[in-house]
Amino acid sequence: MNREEFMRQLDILLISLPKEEREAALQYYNDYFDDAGAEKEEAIIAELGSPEEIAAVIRAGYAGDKAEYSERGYQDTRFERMDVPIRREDVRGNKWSRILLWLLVIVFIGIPIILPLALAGIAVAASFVIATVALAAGIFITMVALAVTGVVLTVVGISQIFHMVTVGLMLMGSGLILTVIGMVGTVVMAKLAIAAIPAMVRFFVRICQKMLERFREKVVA
Amino acid sequence: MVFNTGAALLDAVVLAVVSKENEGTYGYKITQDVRKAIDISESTLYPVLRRLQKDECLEVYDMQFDGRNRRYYKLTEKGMAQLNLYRVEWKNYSTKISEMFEGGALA
Repeated sequence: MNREEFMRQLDILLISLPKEEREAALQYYNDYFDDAGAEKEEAIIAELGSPEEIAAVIRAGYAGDKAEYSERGYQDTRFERMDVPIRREDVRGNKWSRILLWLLVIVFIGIPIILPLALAGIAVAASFVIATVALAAGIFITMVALAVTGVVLTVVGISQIFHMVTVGLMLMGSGLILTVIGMVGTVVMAKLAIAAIPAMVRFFVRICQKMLERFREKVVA
Repeated sequence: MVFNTGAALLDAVVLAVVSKENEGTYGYKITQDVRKAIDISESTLYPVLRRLQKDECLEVYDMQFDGRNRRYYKLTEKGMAQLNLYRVEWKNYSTKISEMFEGGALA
């Protein structure tokens, strides 16, 4: 493309502009070619780029939109961030979002540590409860067994009293003692269970409530 | 160039370049002069000159040169005022930046 072609295309491309605008642009580029000299014609055309680009820039400039040409080339200043001072709301928003971020970080880092720890704690507590219940149940069963054995021994003692008086009496005596111990133990264990089970349930409910409260306090604070 | 030139700085440089010539200067020469400081492409300047002209910071006149009409650009009074404003702003701005870079007293 030589200068004449370039200028002719530019002329056509600027046809939508008012005559005055078009002539001003054409005058500028004609002058430019003249002042640069014929030997620089090719270099200038190469650097100017296509007539379409030049025309687009001139049209944009005429339209007075916010786009402008600077060293970096065509850019729309509406999309550039101005140096507006940060407002208070922004700062506060930043603070809150930073707190939220920290919470998230803590939670995410904490999960692998807190979760197994919590599970271990629950397991230990459960094992204590189960051991206590098992112990109580064991004692209860032993007491029941003692009472049953006592009754059986007493019956056997009564049946033996006619064969061997001493053995029969001994069996009967120990049987009665065992029956009493077993019955007393059974009653005590049953009463303990009646008293302990609701107390234990209440205790657990209270622990859960306290944990919930503390959690709520932390969230509010 | 690492630092980009905003529209205001480009305006200021163009006004400064034009102000150097009392009788006015022309497009090609303005481009060459601006290029001594900023690496702009040849297509950059026309919209800037046209806008400054519309803002009445520059005025144009045609003069015979070498058997043809050449368009000259000249600073108006408003352009001169605008340039002085840019000069003050630039002095403040560049001084602060220089102090920061060169470790001067920061107030």
